[in-house]
Amino acid sequence: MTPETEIAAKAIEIQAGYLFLIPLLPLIGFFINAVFGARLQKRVGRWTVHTIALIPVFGSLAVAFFAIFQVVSHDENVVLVDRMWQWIGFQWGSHALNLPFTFAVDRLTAVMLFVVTFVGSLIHVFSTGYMQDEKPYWRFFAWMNLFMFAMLFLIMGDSFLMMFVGWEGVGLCSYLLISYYYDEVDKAAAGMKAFVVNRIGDFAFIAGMAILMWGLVGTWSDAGTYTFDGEMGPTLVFRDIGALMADPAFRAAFLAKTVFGVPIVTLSCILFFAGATGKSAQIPLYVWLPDAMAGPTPVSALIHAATMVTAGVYMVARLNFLFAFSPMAMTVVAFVGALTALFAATIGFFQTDIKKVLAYSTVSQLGYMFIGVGVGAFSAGIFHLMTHAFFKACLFLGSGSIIYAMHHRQEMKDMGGLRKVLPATFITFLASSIAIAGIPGTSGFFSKDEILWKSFDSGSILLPGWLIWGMGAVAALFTAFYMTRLVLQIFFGEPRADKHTLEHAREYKRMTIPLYILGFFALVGGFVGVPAVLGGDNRFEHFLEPVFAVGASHVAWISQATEHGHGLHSHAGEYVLMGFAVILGLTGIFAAWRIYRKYQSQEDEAKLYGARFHNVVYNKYFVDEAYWAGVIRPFLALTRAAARFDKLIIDGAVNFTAFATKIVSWINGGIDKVFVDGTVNMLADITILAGQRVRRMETGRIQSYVTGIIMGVSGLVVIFYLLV
Amino acid sequence: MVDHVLTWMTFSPLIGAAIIVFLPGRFKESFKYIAVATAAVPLLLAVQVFLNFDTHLVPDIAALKSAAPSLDPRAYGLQFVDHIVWIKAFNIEYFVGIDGVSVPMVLLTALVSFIAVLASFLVKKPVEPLHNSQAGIKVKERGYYALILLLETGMMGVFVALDFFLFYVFWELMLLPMYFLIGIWGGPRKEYAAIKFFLYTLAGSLLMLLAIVYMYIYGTAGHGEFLLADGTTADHTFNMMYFAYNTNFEWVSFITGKMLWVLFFIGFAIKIPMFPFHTWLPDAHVEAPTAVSVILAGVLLKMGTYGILRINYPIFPSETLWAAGAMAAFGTINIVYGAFCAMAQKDFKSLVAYSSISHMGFVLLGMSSFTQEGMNGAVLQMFNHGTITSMMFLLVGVIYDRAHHRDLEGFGGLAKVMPIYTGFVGLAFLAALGLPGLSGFISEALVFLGAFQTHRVATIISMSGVILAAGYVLWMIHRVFLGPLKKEEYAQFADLNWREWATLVPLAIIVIVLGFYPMPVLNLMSASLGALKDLVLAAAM
Repeated sequence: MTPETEIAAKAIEIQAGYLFLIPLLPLIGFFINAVFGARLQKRVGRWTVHTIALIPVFGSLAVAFFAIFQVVSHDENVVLVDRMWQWIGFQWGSHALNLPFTFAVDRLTAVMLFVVTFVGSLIHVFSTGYMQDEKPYWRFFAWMNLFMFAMLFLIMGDSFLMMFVGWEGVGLCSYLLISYYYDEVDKAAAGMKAFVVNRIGDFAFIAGMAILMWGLVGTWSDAGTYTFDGEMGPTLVFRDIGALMADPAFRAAFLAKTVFGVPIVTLSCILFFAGATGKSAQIPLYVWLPDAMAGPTPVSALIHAATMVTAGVYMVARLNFLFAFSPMAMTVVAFVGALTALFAATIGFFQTDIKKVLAYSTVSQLGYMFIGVGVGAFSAGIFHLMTHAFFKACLFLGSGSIIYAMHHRQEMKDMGGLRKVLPATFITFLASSIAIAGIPGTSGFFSKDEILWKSFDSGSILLPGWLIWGMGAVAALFTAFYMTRLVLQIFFGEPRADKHTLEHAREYKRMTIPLYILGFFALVGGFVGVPAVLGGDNRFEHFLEPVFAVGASHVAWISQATEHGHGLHSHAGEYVLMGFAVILGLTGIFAAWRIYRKYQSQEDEAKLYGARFHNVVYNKYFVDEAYWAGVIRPFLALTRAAARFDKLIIDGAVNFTAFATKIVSWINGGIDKVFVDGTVNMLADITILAGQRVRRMETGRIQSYVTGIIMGVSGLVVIFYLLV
Repeated sequence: MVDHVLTWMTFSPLIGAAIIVFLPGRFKESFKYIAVATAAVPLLLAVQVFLNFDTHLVPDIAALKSAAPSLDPRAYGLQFVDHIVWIKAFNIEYFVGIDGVSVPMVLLTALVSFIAVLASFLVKKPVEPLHNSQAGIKVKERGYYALILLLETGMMGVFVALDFFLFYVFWELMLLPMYFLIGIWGGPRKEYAAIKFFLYTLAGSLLMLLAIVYMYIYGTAGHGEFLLADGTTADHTFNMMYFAYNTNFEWVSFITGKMLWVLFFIGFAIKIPMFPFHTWLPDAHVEAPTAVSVILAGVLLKMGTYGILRINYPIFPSETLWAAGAMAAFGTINIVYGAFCAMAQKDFKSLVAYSSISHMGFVLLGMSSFTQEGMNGAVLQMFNHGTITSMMFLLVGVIYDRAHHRDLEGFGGLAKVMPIYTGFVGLAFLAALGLPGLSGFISEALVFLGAFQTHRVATIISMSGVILAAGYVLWMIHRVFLGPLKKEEYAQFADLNWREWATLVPLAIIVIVLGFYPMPVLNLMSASLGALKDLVLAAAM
């Protein structure tokens, strides 16, 4: 069921030898701070540390903007390429593996570059204020720079393996930064949890990669459905695979290929998505992200909201030319996304730690992005990724500003009435909150609306579009509800903090300027993607169109082929959906306002919603506990069992053999002494002497063994020589 | 430029050992300097080998199979050959040379041996009573340095020998010094560990010897006659190349072939060590002094997999194909089982030892795939494991020197006290868990990509190794370096001293550079491995 047409998706390659600077500059910053940072901080002062960290980040921002400009200024679809060196490669006969160390920037990467460098720089600036009291200041900035390196590597890498370097690199930095306060055991454990859960996803990613490569090479193919051109060899370069998929002959053969009875494309895509559930915190691997809030708040803003956690979405969008050809995989992506969006939003209801609320909100919003890419609206998913980066980074930084002012207290019971104390924080937090709630005109409205109506309209997945849409719409209602609750509890009502704290609370310029900028973008950032129905021309979608040509055209083809989506593919239908979503959002806000006009403590909430319900939701449905009891504990028991098996059974067998041999040799030794000893010559005397000396060293009778062996072997050789 | 470079590389440590043995006792202080200077010779020569190695030279298998035995080493894809008759009566020759399979191992041996000698240096004055320290040799220095140099000769010899008898001599030569190094300078249970190591390896090598003798007696030339180095002809031979390319294999039925294959394989499998022959390794490591552990894990384990590639693959290709599934299965067991055991260890060193077992499983899995990716990945993994594990054992030695114990539960919060040490630990152990950007990742990824093409289920199971490795590595870091300090006195620990810097930095550089640019090592071996793969696969047709 594939269209038999060639898809024109060729991009014009432009050599851009400067691209390596973008990831390299932060790496240099990391290196200097990692090696000299501690001494600089002590001898010269903190300003050296953050200067060293900020210059490279702004440097790569500048280079990135130059690259983005170069991409945007061409009307044709261009891709900037920086070929560095042969990374992994060999050639044997016709079989060659060729993995270049190459950075590439196409339109999709350009969008990501903008988000990462822009938001990243602002968060670096914010950190100079937020982290100013921390002792290992240098360590924080060294690792933030390392993170920037890895993240830029991830989005600019040109092949699966290059991407994977960044993919794991960001995971490592996330681990390092979550465990920043490592002398507290809980926080260190949260980092470990994040890394291990991510690794489970990475396992799936590697498996998907191996399966895909096997599918593309087919050297040991069983059915021989497609005799691949020997010259082609295996490839893991995105653009090569994309070009192959654009070729109908290849596509037909590739899609027919199966492994373990499942089409290769479906299995590998589902595995890639499983990798994404780890990195982007989706069901069932989302559990690490709420714990990751143990890290400093700017880390939560940068890594666990704006950039790293969106890597999974980026990956699915990048692989649109594979995912689009597997309705099964697309369905899994969209459904898991919708389920996560809904599920995480409910947990957000009763959390009392402001970072926890935002963490579950992030999980939920990431679910939205996966709905977008899952229903084939790749550019809508990326659009939401970008707007989410603005408003969620702003929310996290705002919470950082609050937490800093509250002397590192994060519970809402210690806040209240802060709108007068922290005015800049309040304004920007409010702006971002209405954006995430989807109030018309804000950035979140445009991106969320795009995803919702595309999902309603979708005919390319195996589930009805209205189901996904319904789940997303309810999640939108919930989002509006918990965000309103958050804003009311923090900024309105009577101040609950103690007097001393309130008097000392202040906002630093270093912290408010990034907040203003992000808040501004949270409000207006959506205007790049105003849909046609509202009189815009959706420039964002058109900009990304060529990148998603292969995937999107196939999705469109399926929708047409299945006679789907015509009913609402009209402006009127879109208006209805949009209006409905807005009403849901306003309902959520209104409901929350009714309840939280006055402060509701945790006990009040328990009374209001019923203690049992509140308890289950507040404890996150006991998923962590279930994982602990059902997975981790049995697993640890299994490792101990393996070690015991090794010691008792395997090693026991070895020791028993040794014991038995000892008995036999003792008997043998007795015979030796009685019968042979009399006939030994001088050589044997020397052997015994040597043996005795060794015995005194308590090392056994090795030398006599060896002498015996050598003599025996020589004897054997002589005998055989004479016989044969 | 040095002629007979392999011979020099092999025997220069022996000369150093002899000097140390015969020097009068009043030069006691200089033993270690002589040792390190001697160990530097093969390292410098290794540079020459690396620079002059012809990466494109491979044997023309089809031509060789139908040709008479020849004395032209290049026809067999060999370089830097020294070839003379040693014991004429039994057609034993001194025949050394290298191809793409052995050259990474030769380089690794030179490097790791040098580092190990350096790691034996005692930096601080010993405190009475003499503690059985793991790094820094305080007692009987003469014997120690002589033996470690002798060990280097044995190891180097194994990787360059191309004559079965010579190979066997070196194999045994490596065994004895190792036995004494563990047995004399080891920890509390040194006698047990040493004898276990010795007898286990000896049992394996006896099986190997049986096979060698059988082959010597029954192997006949396919075309023409065997030629000795001096030009005379012979009926029997120990020459591995003749067995691989010029022997008439009618003498060996498939059953005998399988038997010979298994005899060799068990001998090598013990060395790898492959499940279920692995239990000597944790014991030997736990008791051995740091430098000896470094050599043991860095070089000795590779002899097993090298032997399989050198002997089992080219000489018994059809039997190798027959056993490929079993090799992959055992590789998978090694990976998963080793990681499981590593997770449960309480002793720092036995954790690293079990992780070695796990990582050597990747080598087995990769080489049993007979794909270009898998085999390159396997040999690269041998090299990378050599450098990474050496680092890991050096690092365990660092903490043992200070705390005099290795109980993982007994530390905590060391990151604050020893930040540089923690950095190196992070680097080495993250490389071990296959973090992209470091060398271990490249080889693991290649193994997975290659092995999946042949062994699908086994490879998918093996991939779970990446999760398990993250588990035991991070849990170790968590227990030892994070959280609060367990004991007050640990706050006094000094960070790395100059000896520790000097041993760790070169390895760290290699680990990082090969992560981003593995081509220098891949280029060395890929052509030879391609030829070897073709040779084995040709037997299937």
